[in-house]
This record gives sequence, structure tokens and C-alpha cells, in this order.
Amino acid sequence: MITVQGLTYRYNKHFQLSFPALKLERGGACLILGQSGCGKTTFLHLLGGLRRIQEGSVSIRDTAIESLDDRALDHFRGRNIGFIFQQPHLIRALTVEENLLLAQYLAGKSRDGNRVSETLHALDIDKLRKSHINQLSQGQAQRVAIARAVINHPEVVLADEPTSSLDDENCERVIDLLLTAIKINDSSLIITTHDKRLKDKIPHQLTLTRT
Amino acid sequence: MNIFRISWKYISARPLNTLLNVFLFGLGVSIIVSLMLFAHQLENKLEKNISGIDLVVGAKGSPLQLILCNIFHLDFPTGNIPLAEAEKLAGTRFVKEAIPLALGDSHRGFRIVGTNKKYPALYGATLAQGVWWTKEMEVVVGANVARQMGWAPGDTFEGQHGLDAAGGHHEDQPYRVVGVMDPTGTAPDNLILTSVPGVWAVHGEGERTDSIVAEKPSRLIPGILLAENESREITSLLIQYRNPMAVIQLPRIVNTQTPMQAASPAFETARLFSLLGSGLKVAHGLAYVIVFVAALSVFIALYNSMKDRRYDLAIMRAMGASRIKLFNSVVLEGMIISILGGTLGVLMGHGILEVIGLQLEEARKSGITGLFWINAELWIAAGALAIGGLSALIPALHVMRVDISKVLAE
Repeated sequence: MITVQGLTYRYNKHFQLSFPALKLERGGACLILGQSGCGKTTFLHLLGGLRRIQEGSVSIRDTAIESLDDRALDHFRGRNIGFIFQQPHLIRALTVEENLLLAQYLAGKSRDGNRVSETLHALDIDKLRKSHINQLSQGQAQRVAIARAVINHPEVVLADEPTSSLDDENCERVIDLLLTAIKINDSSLIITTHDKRLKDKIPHQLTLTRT
Repeated sequence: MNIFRISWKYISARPLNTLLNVFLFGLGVSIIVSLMLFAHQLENKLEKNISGIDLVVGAKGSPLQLILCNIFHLDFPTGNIPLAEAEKLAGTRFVKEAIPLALGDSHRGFRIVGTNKKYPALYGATLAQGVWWTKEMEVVVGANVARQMGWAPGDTFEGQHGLDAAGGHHEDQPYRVVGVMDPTGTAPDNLILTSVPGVWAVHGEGERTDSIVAEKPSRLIPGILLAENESREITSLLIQYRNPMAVIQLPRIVNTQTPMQAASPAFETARLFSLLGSGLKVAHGLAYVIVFVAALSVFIALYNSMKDRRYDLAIMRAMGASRIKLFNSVVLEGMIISILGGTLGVLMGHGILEVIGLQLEEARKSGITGLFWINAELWIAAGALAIGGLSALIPALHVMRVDISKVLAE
């Protein structure tokens, strides 16, 4: 479960953004809409602890993340939050399997080959296990990125414009995979996008406006 | 997956660059190591060779040449000294022990030295086979000589005139090997020892032309009698002082009251080392420059790869990696390269010296080897590790300060 209250972010003296409240139960999905420049990415980064919260509160699984120090926040993020970006951004020096093992290691979990198999299987990319990142197609890489986001059973998956660079067919496929993946792993999903194609897929929507 | 594997994966993802840096590191370290080993062994050999010899007395000329010729058997003699003068000097109260040397002939580059049995005793040489010489033309050979010539007691050979391999043979007067010495790690290993009269005999000096009476036995050469107007010569005299007074008195007496000169092995080798030292210093300096360039190269490689890896690093932070963990992983990369380079360098350093020891005649004779370890190498290893870590420090600090939100929003 994730709860957001009274979140305001001040970029500088003259410019600040306030974000609406949000409450999302475990297993739920929510779309954050809005034009570019209205702070979608900032909102997502605040939720994920990539940016420190100045005012307001974000609590995930009953932990107020603004109260954590840097190190604890890093640790908390690794264990409870999965990220998906517009580009897959996999570690190119590693294989698919190693990318997933790295996610387990950095989250402070022990390496679990079975969990890797299970995750790859759920996304139908078992065969890519030993592949190098350079050998993957864009679609395959996106699946690996999803696998990496959910491998640690995160409480919440945060996706920043995951479909904006994809054609209709791939867009549909990726969003379906995401929804399936969070269902299997019992995670919540928050997607920021200006992609109108997603509106029909996820009914729970929140629109940001510049104030 | 752990921090070491992450660093290793990044290193092996750019193999050519890594190879270059490891090689650069190795090159610098290998020069330092081989110089250190060489200097260490040389110093050891010099010290072992001069121990027990306080003064060398020979014909006037370069004192360094006198030492090089009569202690290390490298240079040519400065000339001869009258036996009568040598005997007189050996009889003074300053002298505890005096050992005569008569040089002149050689065999395949190995010098034939006429002396007495105190000479091998000076170096603690013992017999591996056979017996010590008793008659003229009997010789005892050093361990290296026996090994390289394949000699055993009973073999005979002809001396060559002069100290290099080009001299003419003394064909009618073969020497006979009667003994082989154990290795000592000093000069006698490469020498053929015999009696002084034997050396004279080969050169036709053994025959006494005078027949004056009043003969007395020689102090230096067992079994011969000195004539009143003694005309025979030897090459030099190795002297051990009897008392501290001798340190001041004896060289002065020799240099001012006789036609001979005296040279101190300790002083001359120190002088030699200071001459050699400036050469070693230049080579050392060069090695440090190479190590510095290697460190710079590692730094540049890491710095550039950090630029390419901004996203990787930000993603790793997003996946839960703390700042310090990423810092450590980058420092570890620098250290891994320096460990590989340092190890390569130490091995190469020993290899270089071993090859020199096997290939170069003079180095082989003096027993220079690469299969020899000194404690200072541990310091080199520690130094290499520190340099590797230092060269990664700035890139690593850079990584620690990355604003992940900014990078990921790009």
C-alpha cells in the first residue's frame, strides 16, 4: 500500500509544484497523466525516494520514507520499489541473468536462481537467460527490464513513460505484461505517462496540472 | 553477484583498455623489481667477495682496477710487483695474513691463479671432489668452472696466455685437475687455482738463474727459498690487518716507501657503487615515471568509463546500492588492475633477471639469478595496490556525488 499526502516540491525560490494526494492498495494500478513539464517525473522520483521529500509525506508499507536517512532509504528502495524507465537501461557489461542477480544483490537479498527462473518464465524470456544485453531486441530488453523491476517482489512498481517510444502493438504488449507481472507478484503499479493509449487500460487516473 | 564481480565485469567488458593498463603497470613494476633484485644481489656478491680482505697491494695504476682485477677477477692486472718487496711487507707487524696472487694465464675465459691454500680458505671454500694441489701443474677448480667445462679430477688442459680467450696455448705444459671446490657464491667459483711456482714454470720464470747463498724460506709461497737478489714477481698481495694502527699506517707505507700501491676494497667498491648508483637512479626514475603514466592511464580510463556509465550507476542506486557501495566498486576496479599489473610486473622482473643471468656471460659467472625473492617486493605490491586505489579515487568520488534523479530524468 502506498499513501501520498500534501506533497510539495520546491525547485527554487520562484518555482514549486504541489502534488495531489494518492492512496493505492496493494495490487492496484494508477496512471499519472499530465503535459510535459508538470512534474510527472519529479512526482515519481519523490515516491521512489530518488529525490528527498521537502514537504508532505509518502508512506509505503507503513514506512514514511521521508523519515529514513540516506542509507536506510537506499536499502528500503532496493527491497520495496521496482523501477521501469522509458529506456530499458540494463547493465551492458552483464548478461540477462546477471542483471537480475545484481538486482537481488543490491537489494540485500541472497542470490536465488529459482526466483530468476520463475521471473524469466513469467515473462516468457527463459531462453534469454545467458544472453548478453547487446544481443537483445528492444522488446526483449523491455521485458528484461520488467523482470528486473519485479524480481524482489516489490511493494510498488514505478514506471516512467514505459510506452512512449513504442508502436501501438508493442505498447499494448508491454502494458499487458506489466499488469500481469504486478498481479503475479502482488505489487502496486504507478505509471506516469502522456500516452493516451493507456487510458483505457487503467481506470484509476490522476492528472497533474501546473499551479 | 557481488561487488567484486561487478567490478570485474566492468573491467573485462573493456579488455583492450584493461590490457594496456595492466601492461603499463607491469612494465613499470618489472623495471623497479629487476633493478632492486640486481642491486641487492650485486651488493651481496661484492660484500662477500671483499670480506676478510682489508687491503690489496699491487703495481701502481688505478686503485679500482687493482680491486676489480685481484678481488673480483674482472679487470686486467696493473702490472707485477717484486716478490722480495711483497715478502718484506708481509713480514711487518701490521700484517696478520698476506696471500699472494700470480695471474697471467687462463682457460676459456677462466683465470688460472697462482696462490697458496689460504686463498680458498679465505672464502671458506671446501673440496667437493679430489684433493688440494701439492705439485706444480696440479690445479683445483671452482664449481662453475668444473660444471661448464665438465671437468673432474684427472682431466688435463692447456693454459692460454693472457686473461682473455684469444691468447696462445702453452701446449707443452698441460695442467692436471686434482680437485673441485664446492660453490661459495664468490670469486673462486670461477677460478682455476694452482701454486705460484706452477704459474712461474709455465712462463719460464721458475728456473733460478742466480746461485747466491744466504737463502731463506718464503713466508708467502710454501716450499720455495728466496735468494739474496730475488728477481721473481707476483701480481698482488691480499692483506688482512693485524691491528687498527695498520688502517692508517700500512697504506701510507706502501704508497710512499715502495714502488707498489695499496687499495682498500671497501673504499673502492663504495666508490664503484656510487658511480653505478647514478645509473641505477636514472633507471629507477624512469620506472617511476612509467608507473605514474600507468596510474594516469587507469585514472583516465575509469574517468571516461564513468561518463559512459552514468546511467548504470544511477540505476544501481535506484536498485538499492548505497553511495559507498558504488564508491567501493570503482576503487576496486582500479585496485584489480593494479594487482594484475603488479603481479605481472613482479613476475616479469624476476623473468628479466633470470634471462640476463642465463644469457650474459659475466652475469652468469657472478651468479645473478631471478629465482630470488626479497622482502622489499611486498612493499612494491602494497605500493601498486595503493596507486591503483588512488588513481580510482577521483572517479569514485565523482560517482558518489551523482544526482540520480537528474541522471534518470535525462
